[in-house]
Amino acid sequence: MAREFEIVTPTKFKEDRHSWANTAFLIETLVLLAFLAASIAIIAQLFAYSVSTAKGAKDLSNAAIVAQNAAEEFSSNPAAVSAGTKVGQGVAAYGTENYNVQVEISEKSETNGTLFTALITVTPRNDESGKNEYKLTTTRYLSNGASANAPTPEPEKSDDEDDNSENSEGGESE
Amino acid sequence: MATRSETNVRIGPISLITLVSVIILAVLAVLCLATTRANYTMAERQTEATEQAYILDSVGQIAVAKIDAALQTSTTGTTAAEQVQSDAANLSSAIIDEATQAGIDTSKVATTFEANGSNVNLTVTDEGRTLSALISLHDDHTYTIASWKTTTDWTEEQDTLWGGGA
Repeated sequence: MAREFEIVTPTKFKEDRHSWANTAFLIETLVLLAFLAASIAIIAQLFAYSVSTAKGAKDLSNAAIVAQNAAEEFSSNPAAVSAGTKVGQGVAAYGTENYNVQVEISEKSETNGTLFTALITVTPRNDESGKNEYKLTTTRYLSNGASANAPTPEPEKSDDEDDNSENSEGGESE
Repeated sequence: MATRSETNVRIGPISLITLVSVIILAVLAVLCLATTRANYTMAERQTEATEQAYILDSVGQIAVAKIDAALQTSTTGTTAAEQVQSDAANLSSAIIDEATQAGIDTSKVATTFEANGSNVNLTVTDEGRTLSALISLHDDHTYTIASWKTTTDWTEEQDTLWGGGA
């Protein structure tokens, strides 16, 4: 059996080597492309989740602020809110718009006054899942007595009571 | 030797740049995720703190209603304050019941009353937060809220500082 041998000339050798290098480069590029696509797919999901979480944190934080403002508005005049005055609308100017505020008021008669309870529900308008809905319950007592109706977390001083309230802020030691 | 080195797989500059880019992107993504998670946790804590402050405030308001009721049946402010203190246990349970009926979470709320002349020191506590109120009862069956403070209890142990001695 006679065997045939291919005679490789220097020109032929150079052409083969160039072709092999091109093929290797193509394979490397393809592998890199696949790796890059897979990595970007995973990393994009991480970034998307981060964006969603950041938006949720902002919504929740703003909802708490809006609810707190609405609660303070309610505390300042619970009878008016019970009669139909809306709360939580005045905060829109401070960048916390796009929140729906719902207030459910219940009244309970006490021995010498009325106890108003408000359930404030704040929902971001674009929150379809309802995950960032925030609820706050607050209560305010209105006495029938003449000089009694002043209990708020941070009471405002009237002109007549300035001296008395300053003296009594620290409590009595006796 | 030359033939052997040519057959090895070598990382080209494009591969290197891609790898470094992917690693940097991955690190940035993880940092971004950690930051946003921390922000969300902080937002949740903020909402919990707000809720707790309003729980204390609401229970305090109900307590004021009860004190006002006691004041109407007493002849003077001092006797009303004493009556509130002597009936503190019943008053506390009535306040908790009423707050629970109003939809307030009172599972860890406790109230105390302390008479001091014609004044009542009202304390409401709930998981590390305290509402301290001073209510002055007057003989004309009215009352005044003299102070209304919400504070957070300090739970960390304080280190003993060097006093300067040997």
